[in-house]
Order: sequence, then C-alpha cells, then structure tokens
Amino acid sequence: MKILISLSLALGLAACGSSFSQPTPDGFVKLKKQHRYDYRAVTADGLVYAVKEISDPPKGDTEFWAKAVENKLRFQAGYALIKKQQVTTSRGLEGTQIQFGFDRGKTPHLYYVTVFTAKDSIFVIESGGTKELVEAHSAELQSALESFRVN
Amino acid sequence: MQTPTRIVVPLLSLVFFVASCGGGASRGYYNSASSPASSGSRAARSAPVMASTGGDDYGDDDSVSVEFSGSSELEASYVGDELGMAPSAAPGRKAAKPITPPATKAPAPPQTSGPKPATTAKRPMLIYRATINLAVFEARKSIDEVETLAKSLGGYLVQRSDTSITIRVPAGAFDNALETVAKVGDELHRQVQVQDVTAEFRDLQIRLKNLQAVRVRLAALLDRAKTVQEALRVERELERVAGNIESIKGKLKLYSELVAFSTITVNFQARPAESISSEVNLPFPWLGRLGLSRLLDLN
Repeated sequence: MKILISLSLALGLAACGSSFSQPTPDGFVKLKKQHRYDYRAVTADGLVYAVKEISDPPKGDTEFWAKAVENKLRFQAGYALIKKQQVTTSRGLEGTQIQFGFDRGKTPHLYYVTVFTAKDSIFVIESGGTKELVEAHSAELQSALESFRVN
Repeated sequence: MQTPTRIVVPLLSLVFFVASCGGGASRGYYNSASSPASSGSRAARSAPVMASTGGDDYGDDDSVSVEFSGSSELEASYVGDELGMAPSAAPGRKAAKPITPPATKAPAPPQTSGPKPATTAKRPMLIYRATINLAVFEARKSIDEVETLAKSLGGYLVQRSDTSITIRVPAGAFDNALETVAKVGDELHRQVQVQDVTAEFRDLQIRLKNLQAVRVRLAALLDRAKTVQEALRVERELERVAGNIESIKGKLKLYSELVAFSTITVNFQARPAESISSEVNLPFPWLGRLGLSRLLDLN
C-alpha cells in the first residue's frame, strides 16, 4: 500500500513539472499566471502565441486530433479553412498545422492551430491576430513552432 | 325590351364563362374569340389591350402563344416568347437565356430574342434556388467577388449586406456560378432547391387566353349597348376581367423571371444553432475552448 501511494505521489510530482519547453519568440513577451494556457506570449501590437497541453487524452493519433479540431472550428464555429499542412519541429517532432481565417467584426484575422501528440499528451499550439499582423510576423511564428520541444 | 335582352343574355353567358375559365376552355369558344374586336370608340376606351390568338389551335400545347397588342412592358417579352420571356426590368441586364435548365456546367450560348420554336413550350419550367454558407473570412472582399461574378455572367444583384449577398444569374449559367461562388471562400454548407412550375405556368397561360377572349367579346358587347345602364354593366365586367388579366400577367412575368434567372444566396456566417445540433459533438471539452476570442483575451 505504501508503495502504491509513493508511486502515485512520484507520478503526480512528475506531472506537475513542465513536460514541454517553448522559447519565447523574438518580439514577444511571455505572460504570467495563465490559467487557460500552459504558455502564452504576446507582441506589443496584439499577436498571440500559446501552448496548451491536454494530458492523458483518449488514445488517438495526430491526424485524429487535427481532424477533430478542424471540424469543430469549421463546421461549428464558422472558421474558414485556409490550409492544412504537416510541420516538423527542429527536434523532429511531427505535427499538423491548420490555418484558419475568421472575420472579427469586419477585420480579417488569421488563426493557426498546430497539434502534436507525444508522451500521452496532446500539445496544441495556437497563434492568432489580425491577418496583417500574422503575415508580418510569420517568420517569428514559424521559428517559435520549430523551437517547441517535448521534454 | 328586346334590346336589353340582346345584351343581357350574351353578357350573362360571358359572366358564366369567365367564372369557369380557371380550368380548361373549349376550342370552339377560343376560335370564335379570335375574331378582331370592333373598333368603336367605347370599345377602344374600355379595352385598350386586345387578345390576338393568331389562329393557334388552343388544344395544341406546342403552339400555345399569347400576344398582346397593348403597350405594356410585358408585350415585348410575351410576343413570340410565351414561356421563356426575358425579364427586362433590371437595369443593365443582359439578354436572358430563357428556360434553359442548368444541366450543363458551361454557360449556354447566348440566344437571340426572336421567336422561339414551338418545342420550347414542352420544356419544363424549373426555378433554381441555391443557398451557400461560406466561413466568415474576408466577407466583404468575397461579397464583392460574388457581385462581380453575377454581372460577368449576365446576372444581377438582388441584395447585399455585410454578411450575405443574393444574386440572380441566367439559368444556363447556374451550375457554373454555383461552383465559382463556392470557391470564393470555404464552403461549409450548400442547399439547392428546384421548383417545377410548368403546370402552374400553363394553367395561367390558359386562363390568360380565355380572359383575353372574354375581354374581346365584352368589348364587342359594349359597342352594341344601347343604354348607359347596359354600357355600365358591360364596363364593370370589363374592368373585372382586365384586373384578372393584369394579375395573371404579373404572375407569368414573375415565373418567367424566376425561371430565366436562378437565385443564389451566399451567407457569410457561422451556421445557426439548430443546424449545429445535427453535428457530432466529440466529448473532449478542450476542443470547445479553442478559438480566437479566448486566445486574444489577455485578461
């Protein structure tokens, strides 16, 4: 019994530690005390980059989760699918990026969602802002994505 | 009392006939009505639009034609073009390609506005309507593109707002237009409706012909009226018949326009909740927490 409790505690403690690392992209500032995201950074003009980890989800591959995200945002939220592509981090982790477009008011926005699956977790990386901003910072966003790492 | 009897008896016959002219009509009556109306002054005043049947056999569906000799806007469209008249009310509109079912994707070749072959009457009168929901992205730009497309295909704009646009395009270009519109944005939903109005259109044409024949006969009776009272009674009946004729002409024009030009509505908005309910909701709450609003809400 003691062994079981010890094991649970050990596993719990291990889970508390960050299971990924995300260097803050150039021109962004990392925000503290983010309760909805495990990591979020923003530029001075409002472009946002965020990482969310979903621990211990039902077993499913990246393709499944990417499709679930696509369907949810397209058919239930009305986001326009612009592009869907495979991406690879600098450490060789493969994922799927779905690029959406959406008008907030009359201003066109871009919203990118990238899904990685690794170590019994789903890692969802979101970035978004006005179309103008996202296009202007596309290199930084790409660099940030490539530097994402699962520990 | 002989004179009133001469007027009243035919008048009563006509009234009965008019009352029953919603359905079929007898060939004999039609032929007799094709005789030219008298040109008396009262007749000219009371019945400015005459029916001209051109000796067509009423029972022959292929040769049904309606001609107006009046100066109404409908005249140009109806003469020699009884089924597929091109609407002429919209400004800047190209010549319509009447009653061409959108069976092919490529736009049909333009047609001249001359009399069409009698076989036209056998074509089905189909009204095409489509609604496309596109995802909400760069809606204004996309709406502009849809409007430009309509004009380039010989169609026209019906209405536009910030989130939707309705256009009409020639029926022959319907499929082509639909596919092009779908490529303007991310298509989420499409609904195409086809309404066959062939029977209603034919019925209206028959009723119109009958009423026009009745009007010719009433005009003749008006000429023969000997008293003011007789003339007033005939004129009242003429007025009623003329009203019915105008009403039917309006419906025919509407049908013809709806057949000649298909309607496409494009909505740039998320699907309404009742449509969403038919989607499968995966039991993963984090999916519901995705979205730009949450991402960009930094508080």
